[in-house]
Amino acid sequence: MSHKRIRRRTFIGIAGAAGLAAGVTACGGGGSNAEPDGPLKVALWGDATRAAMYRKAIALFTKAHQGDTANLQFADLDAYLERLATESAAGDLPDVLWMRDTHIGRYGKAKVLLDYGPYLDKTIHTADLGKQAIPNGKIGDGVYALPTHYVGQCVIGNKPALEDKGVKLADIKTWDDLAAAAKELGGSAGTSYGLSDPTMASSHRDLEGWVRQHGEELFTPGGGPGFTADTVIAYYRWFDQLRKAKVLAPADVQVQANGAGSAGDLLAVGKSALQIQSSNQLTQEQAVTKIPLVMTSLPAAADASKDWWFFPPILISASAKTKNPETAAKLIDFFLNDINAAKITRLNQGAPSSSKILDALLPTLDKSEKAFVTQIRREQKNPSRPLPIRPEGASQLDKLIGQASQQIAYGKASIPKAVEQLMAAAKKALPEQ
Amino acid sequence: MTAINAEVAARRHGSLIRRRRISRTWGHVIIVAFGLIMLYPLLWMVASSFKPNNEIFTSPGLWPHTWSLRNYLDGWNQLGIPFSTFFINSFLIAAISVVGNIFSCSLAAYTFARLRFRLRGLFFAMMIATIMLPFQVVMVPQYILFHAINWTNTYLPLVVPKFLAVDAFFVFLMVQFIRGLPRELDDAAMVDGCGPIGVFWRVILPLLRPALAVTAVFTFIWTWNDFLGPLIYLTDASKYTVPVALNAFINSTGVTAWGPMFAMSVLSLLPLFVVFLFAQRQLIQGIATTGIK
Amino acid sequence: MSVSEHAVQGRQGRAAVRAGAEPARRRIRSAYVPWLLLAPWLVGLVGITLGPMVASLYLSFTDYSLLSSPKWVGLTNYVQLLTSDPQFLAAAKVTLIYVVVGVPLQLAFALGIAVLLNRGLAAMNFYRSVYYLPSLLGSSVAVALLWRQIFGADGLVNVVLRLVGWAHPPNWIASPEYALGTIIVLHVWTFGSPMIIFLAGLRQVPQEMYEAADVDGAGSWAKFIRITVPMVSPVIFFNLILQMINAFQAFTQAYVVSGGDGGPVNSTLFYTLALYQEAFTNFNMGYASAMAWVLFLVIALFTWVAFGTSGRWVHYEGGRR
Repeated sequence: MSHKRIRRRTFIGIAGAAGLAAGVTACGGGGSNAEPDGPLKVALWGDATRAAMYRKAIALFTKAHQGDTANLQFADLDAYLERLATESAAGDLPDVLWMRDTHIGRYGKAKVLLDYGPYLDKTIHTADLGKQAIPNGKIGDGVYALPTHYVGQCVIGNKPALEDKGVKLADIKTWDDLAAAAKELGGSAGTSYGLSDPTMASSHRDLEGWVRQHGEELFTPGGGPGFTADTVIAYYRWFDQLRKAKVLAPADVQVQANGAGSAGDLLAVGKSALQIQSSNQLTQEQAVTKIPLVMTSLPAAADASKDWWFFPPILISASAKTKNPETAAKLIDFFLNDINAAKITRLNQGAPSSSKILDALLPTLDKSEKAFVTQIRREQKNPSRPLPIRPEGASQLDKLIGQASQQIAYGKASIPKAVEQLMAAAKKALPEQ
Repeated sequence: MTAINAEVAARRHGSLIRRRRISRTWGHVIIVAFGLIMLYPLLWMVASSFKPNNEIFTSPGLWPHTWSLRNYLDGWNQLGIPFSTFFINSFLIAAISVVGNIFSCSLAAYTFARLRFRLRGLFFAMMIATIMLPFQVVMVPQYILFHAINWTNTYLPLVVPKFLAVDAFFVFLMVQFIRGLPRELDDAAMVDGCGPIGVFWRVILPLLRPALAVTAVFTFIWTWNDFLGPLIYLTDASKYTVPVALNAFINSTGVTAWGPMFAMSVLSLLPLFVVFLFAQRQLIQGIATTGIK
Repeated sequence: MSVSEHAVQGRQGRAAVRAGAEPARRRIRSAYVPWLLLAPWLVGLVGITLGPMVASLYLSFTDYSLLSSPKWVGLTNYVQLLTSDPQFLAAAKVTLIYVVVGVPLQLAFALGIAVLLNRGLAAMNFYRSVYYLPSLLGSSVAVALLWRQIFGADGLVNVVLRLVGWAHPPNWIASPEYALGTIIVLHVWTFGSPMIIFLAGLRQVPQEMYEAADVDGAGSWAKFIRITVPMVSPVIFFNLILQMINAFQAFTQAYVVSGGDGGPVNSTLFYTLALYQEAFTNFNMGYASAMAWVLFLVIALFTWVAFGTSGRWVHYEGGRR
């Protein structure tokens, strides 16, 4: 009987201690909302390496603005977007946050972001950011985001394979050139395919280049689909001819490679000679492979519209509910324009939008970084009509494009049929406002 | 006659033993072969943690061409905070959750399984119903709730529910176990003058040890591996648990550091494995008496 | 009478007195005791679980983008879901196949291996741990990558298949026909959790029953069917119900193995994955909530049927009171 009584005491003791421990660990957390003049909450997507860089940059800011501190929260992109949406539902967005160009339309329209209007050219300086800067973040009457970095589109090539067949990447100017080069290169220097298949990833970026070259846009100003079936059919037909010639990576090979990220993709492991992707990824690709890589701009047909060039922005916004809008604005200006901060964060998110920063960074870049920056600066000199803001259904469009591509690639549907379904679904997902 | 019978019996006995030995050997063979198949993916992960990043995809075999401890060194400090912090955070949350679940779930289970009260059927159905709704749609209202009482960026939303028997899985598990215990034991204790609480404390709880061990192990492991909860509630990197810290190695817009991630995943398995081994002993000490005798 | 007899008589006497004089008090006490013991669970239910569930039910009748306030739309979400959403049918099909094939398969392995491990063969501790190890990793990104490697074009599975003579095995993980199969295999691979529960249940079966059967000359299969299964039936029932409920809501494994899109060609588009996409990619939380409640009804139906038919095959030692 007595030892059972002791057991009851230990029961209560353990339960009590556990509760106390829970309380103590909870107290370490502090309040979740930033009080006025408390530390700002800054959020970005990426990995630990990027987070470390930006923490150092924030430390610089803190030194320069005594007392204005900021805490960084980060997660990988999908987890980041999920958490952002959840926080927004609770009215708890971080004070300063990086925003995807695919989501700015939605967040801007919902009015959960701070309107930069009162701060432009007073606290936040946009003079060096290029004339596309403000249109990239303008939704309706307010400016809800500004670009900190730009990325571009490009073709990256396996240098030994190119040299083996005497193909010069810089000579590839049109899509026909690219097709010919891919056919030429398939199988050289140990590769199996001439070109990786970019259509298997659910993304509208690759389609967007083609669509713009044909004088159309992905989205109308009213938010509906701005592209025609014929354009999309021509796009898929181009890839299909290479698929039939066994020069394009087959569907299952590409899908498997897509699951492994950069380290496992076909170019990096040497299975593919050419690859279409975002130009800021040249440096990353080079870092994971021993194969020397070179890059060139995306090809365009001779009769393509001249101002098709576009540069998806990496945007920065602030929360409409922030208790420290002035400090937030100062921090945003810091990330946009401060050269010392840029010397720490460099090209990790893309090419910095400020031309002054680019000038300052140029001498410190390594070979592939220099190649990327030189190319994007050259491209940015080309005429480029404004990029439409992604409307609310944009992420759905990504999925629809991905589905159509997979159906075509796996031979589950003919190209006209798949595109017809895509157009119908796109009209439903993107209602014209 | 008896001699012949004895001989026949002996031969039958001998063949019985041989049959038993053969079946035992087969049992061993199956278990070992299967075990290797089960383990292969884990062995691959351990092997990859010793390969440099670019070798993981180019040489998919089990044995690394170049052995390197680089991944472990890099991974340890990847977030600027030593990984041990995350182990400690995870351990703390998991251990407290175990305590919470063991006590709250056993209490609730006993009440459902042995006590009669109005609405028992309804409440039991509601309890099962709580696990039938996908968490993705409950997550947002819960977050709003916890945000309203200022519990975000603390461990409270992760730990307090465990003291309130929120895990219907374990309540139901223990209900099934308690139902397997003969009522005569309860009755005997009640004759001796125990009230329901006494019966719970003296009779049921000790006999529930395998179920408690299962609850402890599973709570620990599932809490340790929980990603979504810590992701949305913890924003300070120093508070991260292991799965959230592992997510920091992934970069879907850049290069994922697979090597260090595998290395830290391997390390993260060790505490789980140790907990499991330790709890196994509780699991094995079966019920010495199912008591009717 | 001896001292002990006195003591016994005394105890019985006291018990009789207590039994006689206190029925009213005990009845009152026993009336509120269940509620007292249930209090923590009730608080948890109302505060943490029920509230958000009711909220999501409300949201299922609204158009809610997470960023703006919900707008009431009545039954629109449900009508659209059940009549004009091809994704819904695709996802329902994938999930049903997974449940109907994956759950029994996994439980069969779990029970089989548990019975084998319970025989007291040497080094059982070690083997038990080995079989449980995969479950520790089951939902991690690392395992997802592993799985893509192993079931890929040149992965281990195909290496072995080529060795036994199959010249051109398919790329399992990237083929629409087989991708779901690889996820089912992943589910079966992580049979550790139900196995442990079976082991705990097997421990409760009295050894005397097996010994008595041995005396009667019963073989292993007869012992399994006539003793093990009935004695362990509450645990089988438990595992069946819970694995089924979990399988209907399977998410993480499909999400990480397919890379989040349910591909290729929607062959691994599990229901909760489609739901998640509606909620967080398309910002249609109202529609996603409707999907969740439809799933809830389906699961509730299956569970109710299972509970209803359980009387026939589940045997409780403690009676069904």
